[in-house]
Formats: sequence, structure tokens, C-alpha cells
Amino acid sequence: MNERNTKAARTDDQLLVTKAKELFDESVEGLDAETRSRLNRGRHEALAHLRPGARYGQWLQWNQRTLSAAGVAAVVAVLIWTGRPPVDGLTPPATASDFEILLAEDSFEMLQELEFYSWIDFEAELDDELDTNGNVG
Amino acid sequence: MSTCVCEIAVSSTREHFTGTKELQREQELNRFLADVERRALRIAEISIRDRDEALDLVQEAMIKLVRNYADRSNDEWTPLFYRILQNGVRDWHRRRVVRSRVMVWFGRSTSDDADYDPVAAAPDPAGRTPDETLQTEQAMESLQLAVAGLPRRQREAFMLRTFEGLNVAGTAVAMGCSEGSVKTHYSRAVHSLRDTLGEHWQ
Repeated sequence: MNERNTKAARTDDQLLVTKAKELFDESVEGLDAETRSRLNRGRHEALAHLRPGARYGQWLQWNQRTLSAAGVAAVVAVLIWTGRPPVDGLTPPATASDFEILLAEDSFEMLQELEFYSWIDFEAELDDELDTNGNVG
Repeated sequence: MSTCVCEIAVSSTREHFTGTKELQREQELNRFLADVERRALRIAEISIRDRDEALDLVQEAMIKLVRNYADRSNDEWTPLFYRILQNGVRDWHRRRVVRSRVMVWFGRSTSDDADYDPVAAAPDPAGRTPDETLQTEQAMESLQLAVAGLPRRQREAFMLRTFEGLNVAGTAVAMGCSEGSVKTHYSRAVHSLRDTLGEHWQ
């Protein structure tokens, strides 16, 4: 009896795996032309890294990114220094380790966004101050 | 003089040989990536529920494989590629958590999930009736949600074994763990999916 249950469970597992695989393969085959094209472009860009001269390009790019990240890091450091409490009371405040992750090379785009958001915040605060002082044009 | 000419000839032959070898390697890598890229995209997409981000992760994985592991044997590429991709997915989730914390710190909130529509993002396979298409889409949507809801290691083991078809050893390399752990995670994933999806899904 017990052995029969075990066999049935194995069969069910196998059926599930087979169906999951079929559905997955169908979804892969059904990828639209734009997505396929983007994958194709991405592959060729990746393969370009094999060619001579790619290393120098990477070095240059790394230097540019490092310098830019250092600039943004300075902005973030100033913002940490001035401090700001969490606004919703639910999410814990960002810690120094969070910013370490943000400062990793791969997070550079996110740092660019942060710079943008901090600029928006600054603009919003400036507007608020103008409203409060009755200097709205 | 003749020695000099010979050296030039040897050097030229060596360069030609090296160039041919590099070209051959590039072609092999191209074939490998072309074969794996679509499945990799769907695996990443199920993990992070965002196609654009998944495309970026797949491209990053391709670049890292080409830069760092092009000289490895072809058999090693699949587990290495998926290891890079899984690390990318893990970092993506980590950054997302951090980003939401930091955005709150800046007085902003992030709600990327609100924009995600699994039905709209589902593929549109041809040659079936609308009812059949709808049923398939619903089944795939249920599967995606169930797989996405698994604990990370179980999800990785299930997708690598079932979707990519890696064997236990390859999955262990891709996940950076022992073969025993792969078997445990995979078995738990299948049981969990069976419970979540129910008998009707089969």
C-alpha cells in the first residue's frame, strides 16, 4: 500500500515536471521578434569583448565609471552626513552597508538614479520654501 | 637574412593560426550563446518578473562568460553561464531590497511589481484556438507564479534541472553547492509545486 503511494507520488512528480517543461519550452518558442532581436544584439555585443582592443576599451570605461561613481558617492556621503529619517516608519532606514552595495561597480546606474532623485527632492524643497515665503511667481 | 625571413614567416603563420583559433572560439561561443539565450531569458524573467531587467541580466552574463571563461572547454560553459546568471539574479534581488530602503530614505517609494502584467507579458504562440491559447497561458502563469514563490535555492534547482535540462553535477556547479544539496532542493521544489498547483493543473 505504502509502496503504491510512493509510486503514485513519483508518477505525479514526473507528470508535473514533464508538463512544466512543455509549457516552458512553448513560452521560449513564443518569444516575440523584438525580444529575440534584443538577445541577438546582446550576444554580438558580448562577443565583441573577445576582439583585440576590447580590453583597452574596458579599462577606459572602468575609469570613467569609477570617476563618475566617486562623484555620486560624494553626493551620497553629504546626504548621509546631513541625515534624514524614514518617512513611512515601516521600512528600516538605509544603513552604511546599503550604500556599500550601491557603490559597487554594477550599481552605477542605480547611483545615477539616486542623484536624479536627490535633485528632484532638492527642487521640491526649494519650491516648498518659495511657497512658504510667498515668492511664487 | 634568410633567418630573418624565416622568423617573419613563422611569426606570420603563428598569428594566422592564433587568429583562426580565436575565430573558431568566437563561432563556438556564438553557437553556445544562441542556443542558451532564450531559455536563460525566460529563467531570469521568471525569477525577477521583469523582461527588460531579465534581458540586461542575460547580456551581463554573456559578457562575463566571454570575458572570463572563453578559454574554458565547451562542456563547462553551460554551468558557468548559469552560475553567473544566478549570481546576477541574486544581486538584482539584493539591490532591489536596498533600493527600496534607500528610496524610502530619500522619501520615495518603489513599486515595480505594480506595472507587471504576466498575461500581457506572456508569449503569443501561433496555431491554436483562442481557448487553447488561453488555457496554456493560464497554466504557464500559474507555473510562473508557483516557481517564483519557491525559496531561492529550490527555485534555482528546479529551473536548472527542469527548464535548462542540466544534470545534477552541472546544476551543482551552477548553484555552487554539492550534488546532494541539489537533489534535496529539487525534490522539495517538486513537492512544493505539486502542492501549490494541485492535481487539476496536471
